[in-house]
Amino acid sequence: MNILISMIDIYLFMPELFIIFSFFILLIYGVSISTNKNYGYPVLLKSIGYLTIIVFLFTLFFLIKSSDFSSVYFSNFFFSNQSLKWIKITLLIISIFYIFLIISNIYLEKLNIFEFFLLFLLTILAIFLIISTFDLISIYISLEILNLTFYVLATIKRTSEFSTEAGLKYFILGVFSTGILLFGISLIYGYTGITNFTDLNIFIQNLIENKNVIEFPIQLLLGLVLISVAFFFKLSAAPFHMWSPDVYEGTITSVIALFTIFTKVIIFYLFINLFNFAFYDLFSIWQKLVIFCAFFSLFLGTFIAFIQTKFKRFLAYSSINHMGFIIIAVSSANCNGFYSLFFYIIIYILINLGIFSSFFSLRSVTSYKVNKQARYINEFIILSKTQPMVAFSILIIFFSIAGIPPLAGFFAKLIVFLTCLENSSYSLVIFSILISCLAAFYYIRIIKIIYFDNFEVWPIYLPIDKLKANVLSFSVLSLTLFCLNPNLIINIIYIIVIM
Amino acid sequence: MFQQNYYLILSLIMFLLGTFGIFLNRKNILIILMSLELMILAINLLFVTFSVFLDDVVGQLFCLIVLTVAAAESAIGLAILVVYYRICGNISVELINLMKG
Repeated sequence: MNILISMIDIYLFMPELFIIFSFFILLIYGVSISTNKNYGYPVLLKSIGYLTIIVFLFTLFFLIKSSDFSSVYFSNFFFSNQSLKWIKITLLIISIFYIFLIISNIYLEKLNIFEFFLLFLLTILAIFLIISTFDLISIYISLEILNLTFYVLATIKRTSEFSTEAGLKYFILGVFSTGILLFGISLIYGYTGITNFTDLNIFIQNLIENKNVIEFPIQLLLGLVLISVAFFFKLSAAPFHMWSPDVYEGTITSVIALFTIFTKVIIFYLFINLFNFAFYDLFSIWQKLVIFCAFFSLFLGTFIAFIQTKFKRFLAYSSINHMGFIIIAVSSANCNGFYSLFFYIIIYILINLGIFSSFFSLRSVTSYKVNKQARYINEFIILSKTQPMVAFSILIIFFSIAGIPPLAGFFAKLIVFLTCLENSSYSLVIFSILISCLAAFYYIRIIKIIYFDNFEVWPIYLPIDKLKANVLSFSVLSLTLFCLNPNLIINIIYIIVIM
Repeated sequence: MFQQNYYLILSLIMFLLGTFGIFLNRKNILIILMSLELMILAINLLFVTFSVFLDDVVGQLFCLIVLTVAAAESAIGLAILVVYYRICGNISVELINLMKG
């Protein structure tokens, strides 16, 4: 007798089930109260924001109290592991900090749509489903949930021309990349007839053992290349990076914080699941593609970032540059490589939390109760005299992102370079060190603008508010104190990678 | 008549027509949305072809899943297009020029 859903499925699916139920309850609460005449049609944005923090704390409780055994569930479509438990815990803590970051900013941007946080709940659900996939079909389904919520989030400010145009571009390129992903998956399914990762691993091992000369079947290779192309589209790695500067500049900054912080972790975890479990023996093929993308990303990211004047576009090109570094770490398929990869990504997330919390606090006062968010790099000027503590935090964050010791960004780059040197890819390491020196220029240029430029008219900004100050201080303290006691981050990443 | 290669070539031609429809388009954004749907349709044909020639039902299952998700996606795409039209007043491809560089 075939059982459709058994108790183990429900037990291992419990955090996601809780998020689904709380999404529905919050949706009913939001709709029924905000359209009620007796309460005066209230704006429920902050209320639902704080309630999602409570939802995340409860799922954190579920995850911490769950047991550690590894198993597949839902008939081999998803898997659960100790490493998955810890990566979900870190993602939930980061999302609580993300809500701290944007909750007053959404209010100030006058985006009074309470469904924003419900869409954020759906993204967290999609993220949990993506990182626990074990089958080609469930990759597509979970990635589509994430994509659909991101299309809506990119155009959530319906009254802004920039936002709608950026959302349209993101939608077109997103569906294009989904088409390419599906083409790759269908070719792999068509050649082998199997979609599960373990079965694919066994199939490819037997395929290579039985032949003396290794000739890879062209259909498998094409499917592999197309799937990795689709993943690189989502990550905005060159040469598939065309959408990211426009979309980063156009959509509202709160949503861009979401794109920057969350997509990298999950797509890389999915990449490593797929290429480590399923296609491990075709390693020499996908290593070449990955190294080509790394070279191109590093090169493009630095040289176009020099001429940017708007801050969000600059952030897009600098994230392409960081993608180059992370892709170098992927190209070595051993445990050290993946360790350095996740280490770099976690430090990158901390840096981005700091960048966004300091960037959000630059709201200039033009008249009474009218705030405008700063947009250009030149608006960082004279911050050292108007807000010295925020300027010092920006100093530490940008030094860390440029790779200056003893801050945490230096150690991230160091470990990536060391694992590459172990695999004797010397030209890659020399090229990326030179590019990193060049890239340090445009980070330190911002510090020069803050501390050393002089201007007749001084822009005055509103003081940073309490929740954003919490996030900023968390980021800065973790970056500076990392060199003294790195145990926490190292142990978490060890559990994520080794299991 | 029932050779697998013919169906594969047909799906490949449909997929390439869809992708070139996006790039060589000079009229309006609706053509882009139709080309994206054509790409997804070509993939559906691929899945069903493989399911027939591998004698496996998983291909047809995957085709049904892709069909429903693509329908939801085109609904969101048309909603985004309507929002864009309300702001800009036209859906011509040549007039999308707010962001450069």
